[in-house]
Amino acid sequence: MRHRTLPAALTSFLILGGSAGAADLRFSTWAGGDGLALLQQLAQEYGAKTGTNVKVEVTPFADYSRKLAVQIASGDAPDIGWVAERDVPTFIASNNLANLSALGKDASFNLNDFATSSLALWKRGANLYGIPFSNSPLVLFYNKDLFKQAGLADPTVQYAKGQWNYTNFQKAALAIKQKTGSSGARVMRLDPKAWAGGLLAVLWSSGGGVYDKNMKCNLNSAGSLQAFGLMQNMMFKDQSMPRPGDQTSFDGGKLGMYFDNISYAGQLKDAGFKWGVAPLPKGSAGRVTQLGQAGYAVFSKGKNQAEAVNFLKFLASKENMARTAKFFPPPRQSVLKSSAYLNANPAVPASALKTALISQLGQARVLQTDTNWLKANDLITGSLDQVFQPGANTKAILDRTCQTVDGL
Amino acid sequence: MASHLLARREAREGFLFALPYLLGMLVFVLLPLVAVLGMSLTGWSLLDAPTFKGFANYAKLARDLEFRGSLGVTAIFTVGIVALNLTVALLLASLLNVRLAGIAAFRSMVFSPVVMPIVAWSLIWKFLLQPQGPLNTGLQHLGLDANLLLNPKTALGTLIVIEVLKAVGLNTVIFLSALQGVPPEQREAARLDGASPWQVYRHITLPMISPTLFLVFLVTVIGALKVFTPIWVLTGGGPAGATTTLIVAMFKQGFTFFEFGYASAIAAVLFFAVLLLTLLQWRLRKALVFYED
Repeated sequence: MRHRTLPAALTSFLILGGSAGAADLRFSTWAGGDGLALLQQLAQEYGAKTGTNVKVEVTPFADYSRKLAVQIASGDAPDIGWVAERDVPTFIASNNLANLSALGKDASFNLNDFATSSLALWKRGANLYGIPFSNSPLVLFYNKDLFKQAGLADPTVQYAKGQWNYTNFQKAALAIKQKTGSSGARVMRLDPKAWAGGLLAVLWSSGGGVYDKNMKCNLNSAGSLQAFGLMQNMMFKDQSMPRPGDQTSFDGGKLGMYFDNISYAGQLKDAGFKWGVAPLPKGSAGRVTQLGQAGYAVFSKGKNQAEAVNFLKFLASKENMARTAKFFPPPRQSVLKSSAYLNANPAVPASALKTALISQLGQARVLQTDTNWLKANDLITGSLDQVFQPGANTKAILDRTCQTVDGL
Repeated sequence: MASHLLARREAREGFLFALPYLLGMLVFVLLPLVAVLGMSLTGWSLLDAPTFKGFANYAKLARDLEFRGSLGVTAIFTVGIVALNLTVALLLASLLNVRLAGIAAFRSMVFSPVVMPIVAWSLIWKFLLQPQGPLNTGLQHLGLDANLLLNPKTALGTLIVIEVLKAVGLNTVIFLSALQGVPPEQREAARLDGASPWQVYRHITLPMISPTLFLVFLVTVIGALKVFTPIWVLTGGGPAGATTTLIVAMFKQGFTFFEFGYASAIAAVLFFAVLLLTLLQWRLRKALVFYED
């Protein structure tokens, strides 16, 4: 008897597998903090309304696409979720997003409320593969205290006078560096791999960019080289711009200006200094800011597509987008222009939001990429490591990069 | 007869006790290994179904300049780590192999980085090596335009030093115990015969610890080929691919570009490289190792 119990115990130990309470819908997101709490609240409300149980699954942004791809590959895809801008072309090309073009005919959803430009990333011909919930142009955050100490006019004042351009941006950064000892300006994010956030606006404003209209590499064009030249001067000659890898952040109070999405204001709640938001400077080719997007999409390998589309309609409805707008600039025009939205954040007055954000949307651009973007992005990250070195031969480096990118 | 039955029953129970480990080994090590070899013959972007492509991935590897670059990086990284680690470990072990008051404190100090979590270790170095961080500014005061981790020329060397500082304690302790196993009479006899300290070290001590030296060499080589975490945390393979070792290239292909078939081909190359090196080293053992039972 004793000898029979051992194998039995072993077997039951090995077979032990839990079956947790199954959800009707699985919603995948990288949200955190209050934004996540709101999504969970919305999921609960949807459950109460329809009887459909929605489980919200969270993966940090850095691992998000990786986790999603592994889930899809192992037949464990969520039904619906957030999709980041960088992944949209790849996910559409591999047929992993469901076609939502039927929403165009749904009067209650009112797809016309979304600006055409805000849907460009998600459309292929007549097909629609996602609905953006965030349409966020980069704005300039500036430290009012440092501007005052350096005796400079605020960017908003210079903007009103029509003088807010990259020349004056560079001058302001240098003055802050020289008179206060703090860093002048940072264009890119702390993580050098996230170079696209910030740098693109500078490239576009001087007539350059990553790709031209025919999707050929444009990083070695005259406009791009001019933009890189400006940044190299600020990094190595003026020393007013932190180099890639430096961890000086705007919320620490030792940085005069910083490009980021308006949602960054959430991290400045406890800032020990006065700050404001302004439009980005103007370059030789205009004032082109970068539009960051993220959207809701239904996964074609999910198990419950019809219900997932209903949940998507609920999340992206006018009423609920007005609620998520607290964290993400809404692509629905009716919400964007409502006074409720403009007055939602006491730290950013409605007038500043209008100037820095809404008035810039007309010239804002989304980075259009193709299915090779993940590889191209890696290549470009590598070559930018070389470009942002003192005395770098920028033209030669970027010629080589473009040759490789075009050859992918 | 009865004892025969008992022996069989004991053997069966022994097997049952070993079964969880064997199953784990089978499911989590051997099957994936075979699966990787199979996957390396497919085109699989993880987002769609795999398709059989024969040896196309290997043909692509042969043409891939980045792959060639990462082979070079891996070779430099491995040789650098082995040379530096073994030299420093042997040196430290010889220095620590004395009877002095407080020597235990020094031994603990050398060993302490080994027990530190690797990510914490890497993050501390990342902080110290910021462009305007303490180490780079210190070097800048000496007139060098140093940005150790973000300059393609210095990044790999910096990683080698960081990795060796982390791991050298373990090899030092192993060498120390080997050195303490060398009988003092033999060294004393050599000295009486007029041998210089270097001759004693070279002809008595080193041959006596050669089995340990060989084992440590083997383990360090294989370990260096498998280093991933500090590279990923500190440089992510950059700047400009300067620290993309084979294992980092494999991870990037698989989990950044979702090219699972191609990543599996790199994994297969790495696997056979380690296998080949191990076989080669076992052959060399006969020529290099003395006093082995």
